[in-house]
Amino acid sequence: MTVEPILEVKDLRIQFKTPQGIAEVVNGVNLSIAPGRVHGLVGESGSGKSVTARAVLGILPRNALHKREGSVRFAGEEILGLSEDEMRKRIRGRRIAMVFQDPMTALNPVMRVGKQIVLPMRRHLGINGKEAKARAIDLLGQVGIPDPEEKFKVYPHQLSGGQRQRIMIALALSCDPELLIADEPTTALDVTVQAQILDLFDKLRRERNLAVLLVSHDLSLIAERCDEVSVMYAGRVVETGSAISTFEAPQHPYTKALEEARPSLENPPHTVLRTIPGRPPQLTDLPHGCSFANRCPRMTELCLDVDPPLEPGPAGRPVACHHPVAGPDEPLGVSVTAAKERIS
Amino acid sequence: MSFTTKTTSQRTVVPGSPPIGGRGLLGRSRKGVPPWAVTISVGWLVLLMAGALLLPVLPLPDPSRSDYAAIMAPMFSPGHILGTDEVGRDILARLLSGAQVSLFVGVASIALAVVLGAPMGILAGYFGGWANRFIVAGLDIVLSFPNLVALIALSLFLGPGLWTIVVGIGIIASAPVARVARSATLTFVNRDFVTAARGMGFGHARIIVREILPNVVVPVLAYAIVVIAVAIVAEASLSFLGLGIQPPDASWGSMMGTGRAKLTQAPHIVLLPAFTMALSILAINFLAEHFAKRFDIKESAL
Repeated sequence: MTVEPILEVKDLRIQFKTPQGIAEVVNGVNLSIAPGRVHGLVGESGSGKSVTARAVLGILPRNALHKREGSVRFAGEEILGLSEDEMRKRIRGRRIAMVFQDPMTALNPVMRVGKQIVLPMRRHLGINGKEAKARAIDLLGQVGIPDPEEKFKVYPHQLSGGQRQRIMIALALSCDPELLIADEPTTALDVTVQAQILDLFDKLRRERNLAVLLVSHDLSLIAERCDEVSVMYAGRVVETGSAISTFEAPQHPYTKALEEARPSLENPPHTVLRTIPGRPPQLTDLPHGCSFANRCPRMTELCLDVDPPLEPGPAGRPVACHHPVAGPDEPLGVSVTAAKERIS
Repeated sequence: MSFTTKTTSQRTVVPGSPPIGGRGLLGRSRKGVPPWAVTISVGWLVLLMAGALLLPVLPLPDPSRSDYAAIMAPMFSPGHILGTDEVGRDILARLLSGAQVSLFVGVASIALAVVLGAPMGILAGYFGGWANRFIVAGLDIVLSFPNLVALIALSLFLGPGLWTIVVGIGIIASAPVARVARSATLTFVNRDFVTAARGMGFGHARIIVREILPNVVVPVLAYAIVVIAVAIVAEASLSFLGLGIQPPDASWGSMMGTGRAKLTQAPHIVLLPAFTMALSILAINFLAEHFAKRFDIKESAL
């Protein structure tokens, strides 16, 4: 199946100005999402996943440097270089919409929710207030809000977290976008509501052939709900491929370590949780070679010198590692200290 | 006298923080202003406003006319319920006439301060960078001026009068108002709903008007109420020095200023306007604190 991807990100680089210097937050990210597919972007805090997602929409915070390298192609059109005005009129909210992590803060507390949904439609679709209201109420019904007519008139604080997230989704879908970016959409919700919201995404994706970029740090969620996945570390995609094979047979030591760090119901009680030693590198001072090297039990001198490119690994999926894990049963390695001793 | 008073609240809204216990005038902290004090404050201010507005139709002597038969009449004299001043003018009529001045100065100068200050603060907070530095530097210059000296200089330059006072206080008070607006804007500008509005394709003007402004209005108005009290004191200070409202028009400050020569013979000439003013300031501060408290509770629940 070779469907034309709706979104194709190539070698995206984004830098931020910080008091500590220039932080290289995104270092050459590649992504591609086909219509009707869910692509997961997973990684720990600060790995650049949210920034990548926001860069697609061009809504980076103020301290992002204007020099943005790489390419973001949306429906065949390069949108990274588009002017603010063009982005506002044609892309943001209209063709690409975003759902934020915390529905408590992502809705304007002093505006009725109905109005928040109506305004973008009036702007982008040029329909009058009455039509927009009818559409909004219909949307509220579609996202599973009971009594849409009533809820149209309430303020965000009168709703529960799950309902607010449904409102956010209705808002994002209001102008019938082709790509939905969901930045940790369920992190602020409890587990049962999380499942409902993800089911809702599934349903909408099938009904509207919507492409979804799902950003999360939750491996189980990504494994369960995504078609493809990209694992990010220190601003780079270190491994990418179908979600099932990525988590069943991780190639990158980082993916493997993440996988092993997951608590499992099959473990006996009081099993010590595996962790990844060390900390992610300072983005203002990235190491010369592989950025995962100083936490990696498979590290060699090569890793410290040369940053590995993203190339097909032993399982056929692209991986950025000099010493990828060959199969699901191959152990990760002894310890980072042992690896460091081996080198010196 | 300073416009950067912190009598009640220059509080900024930190999301998720517990409600800040406002330090009230009487040192009560957590509970806010007791309801009876709010009632009395509202009652007093309503009475004062009604008196000021109804002065022309009330059966009182003309506030500027001297009754030479009753100079320095004591309180509860026939025809002059609060007595007369050193030239025989009815004190109650002059207090109400002074209330007109004080309330007008308080409201008009703060309206001017909000109209000037709030947009500056919002722009500085929203755009940051160059605009922020420019505006903040300007505010610092205004704030570093000794307020009373600036007002005296202005009234010598423009000539003393009601509008000089309103404009002077309005300009000076716009600086702290702008600061409050800026800090409130900063707490909202990086909130997700503002980013979300950008993400939905809305431009700066629309985001400022629809997303930022309605959220910033509450703290700015809560602060503006406090500044009304300060503006009233400022007007009284200028008039006391003879640089504000000019005779024969009445102002609480000028009543005290001219009456103070007779303090030993007829203390009520000075004390009545002093009490009236003190009560009014207290009432305004109570109300300001009350509103600020309610606003805090609302904010933390959002």
